Amino acid sequence: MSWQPTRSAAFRPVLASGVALCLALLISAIILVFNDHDLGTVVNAVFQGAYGGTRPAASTLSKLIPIMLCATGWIVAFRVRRINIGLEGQIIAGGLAAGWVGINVEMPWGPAHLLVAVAAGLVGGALYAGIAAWMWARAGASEILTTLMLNLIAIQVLAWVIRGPMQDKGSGFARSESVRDAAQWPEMFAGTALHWDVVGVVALIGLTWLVLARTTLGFRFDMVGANPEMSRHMDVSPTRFGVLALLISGALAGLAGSSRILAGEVTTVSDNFSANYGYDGIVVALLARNSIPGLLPAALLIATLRQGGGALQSRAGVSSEIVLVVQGLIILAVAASVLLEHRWGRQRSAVPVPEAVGQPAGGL
Amino acid sequence: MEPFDALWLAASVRLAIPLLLAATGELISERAGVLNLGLEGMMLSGAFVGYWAAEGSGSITAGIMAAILAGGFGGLLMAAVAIGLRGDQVVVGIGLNILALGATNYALERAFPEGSLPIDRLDPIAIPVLSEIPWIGGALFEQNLLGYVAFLLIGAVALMLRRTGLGLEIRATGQNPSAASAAGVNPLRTQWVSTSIAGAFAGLAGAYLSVGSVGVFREAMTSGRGFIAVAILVFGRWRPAGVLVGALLFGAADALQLRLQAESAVPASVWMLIGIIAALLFWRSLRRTEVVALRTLGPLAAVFVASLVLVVVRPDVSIPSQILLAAQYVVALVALLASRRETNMPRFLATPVPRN
Repeated sequence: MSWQPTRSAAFRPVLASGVALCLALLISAIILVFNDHDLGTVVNAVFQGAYGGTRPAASTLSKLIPIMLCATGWIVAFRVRRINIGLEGQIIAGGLAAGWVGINVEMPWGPAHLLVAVAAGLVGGALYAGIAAWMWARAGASEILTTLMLNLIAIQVLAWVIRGPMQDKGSGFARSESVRDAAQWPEMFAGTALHWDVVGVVALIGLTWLVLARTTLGFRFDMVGANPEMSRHMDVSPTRFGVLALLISGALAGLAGSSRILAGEVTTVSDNFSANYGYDGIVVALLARNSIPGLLPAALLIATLRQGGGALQSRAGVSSEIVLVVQGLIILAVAASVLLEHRWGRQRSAVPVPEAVGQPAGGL
Repeated sequence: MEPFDALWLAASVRLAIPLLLAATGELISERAGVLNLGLEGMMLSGAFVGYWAAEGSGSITAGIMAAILAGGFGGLLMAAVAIGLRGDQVVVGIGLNILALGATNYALERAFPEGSLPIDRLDPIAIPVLSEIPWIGGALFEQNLLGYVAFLLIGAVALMLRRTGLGLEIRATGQNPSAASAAGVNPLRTQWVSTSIAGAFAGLAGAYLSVGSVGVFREAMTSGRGFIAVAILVFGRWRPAGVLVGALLFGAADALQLRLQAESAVPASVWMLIGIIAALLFWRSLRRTEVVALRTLGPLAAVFVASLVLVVVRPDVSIPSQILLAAQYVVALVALLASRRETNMPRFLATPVPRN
């Protein structure tokens, strides 16, 4: 028996992700060194930028909200083996819906306004994902491609809306008016980016985890994901549950969008308010190996990189674009490390790991 | 027939060429069973490296060569992670796109702190006599070098796939890798080769965008063309002729969109075009018997009637430029919706090749 990295099967994916992460960071470090940057300065700048004071620390933590919501959205869809690359567009749809309600609707009772705006975000994201879900269910159009297209469409529609119907005519800038006070999440600590939506979001992600792990709905998702043919025979429609999972996935991303507007540092709808959080969510879900409890450390890492990376230019003279490079490398390394995990599993059990047997999955 | 004139036709072909180059490469890799979603990133790398090398060396040829190498390197990376290490193809593609976006933005800031300045670009080469043909002469026979290369390449790839041993190996690998393996083909090697070639094609497509047509590089200048190229494959049912038609169609849509940006009101001929397309799709659905096809009859008829009304009324409306930009992605969505994908899709597309 050769050396075993770990005896526990549960620990194996954690270790594989860890190795992948280290590899990605190592390659990034090599890139930085080749470009004559001092690594110590860069690391220091990232940590100072992310945690050097109450305000940056609160900003870092507030970034966890959209990242973890989107990652949860990816995981829900992936349970039934649907690939939702459209989280970014669903953030935009949810944010637009929440922003519209927050600006244009008047409510007699303040908290109701916030609730309705948040609900609009959920519905907006779900409906936008629903387009891809409908195309997949009705015509078999691959959600991988349709959600990619829907992302590109959402970006343009947003660009038009904030220069057209939703523009704040008084300011002359490409942005909407500010959301009414009643529709904004109250601040947790005055003057920081952290708002009370954190509590609701964490509770919702916990609830999603419970539903997936403990209820019949979660069980049916797993069934469809594991074997669509078998579940069809057992009257669990892969189409219906696939659509449902995509809708929930979109709703979670839409909620992330609503928080970007209703609990943001700026409370207007503007270009790029989705800020690539949809793709961050994918990185985090992959790094966490599609496990919801694993999301927290992975999201914390990406949030730190995002917040600290923003300060890289001023503090270390490094372009913050390097953060995207690191994220791309993490995805590639994590994708590659699945094999590593299987190798370890094989050594331990000495039983062939069930790999993709010669069945076409029909990727598109 | 404003805006459908010779200038529009010429722009259509010009805008189709990067799509055609990228989709031709993707055709090779998808026929071998590898879904390369990283196409967008490989195009972007090709566009940047092509500009960077051409700017540094003063030679456009050097730029194009460097772009091919950069794209090919992207393809090799895709192959290493997705085929060598068996990573999920879709995930690896997403990773490559993010990596390429970050890397090109980073390198742009470092290499050109003042932004990229225009350099010489490829001159159009007019073919004598042929380029004098009214309408299509200017569109087809006044391309730059890469334009002609693109049309030659899709023909060459069509021949390669159908007539050569390598083509047979590629098709067999995508269709049934176990059987291919039993027949003495190494499916993994075939996938490595075709994925790398696809990357090189994407790099060339990127070079067409930067040094071929505008002579500058801008952040994220591929703007979704890689994804549209992947959609073109579905639309063209994984056949070379379908890919050619698809690329020209999306080029035409892009050219129309650019044209309408300059118009103050939508010309009636555009409404007429929409009506004709709806009528053609209606006719197609009518001849098919599946319930799915029959369900589209109502909406298509409604679109047709609406376009007739618009042709008569000629409302004085202009479409915002952002919506025009989004229109080509909507066209892609409709194309995906209308494509019967099961007919000709490589059976093992995006599925890892079973080992032993």
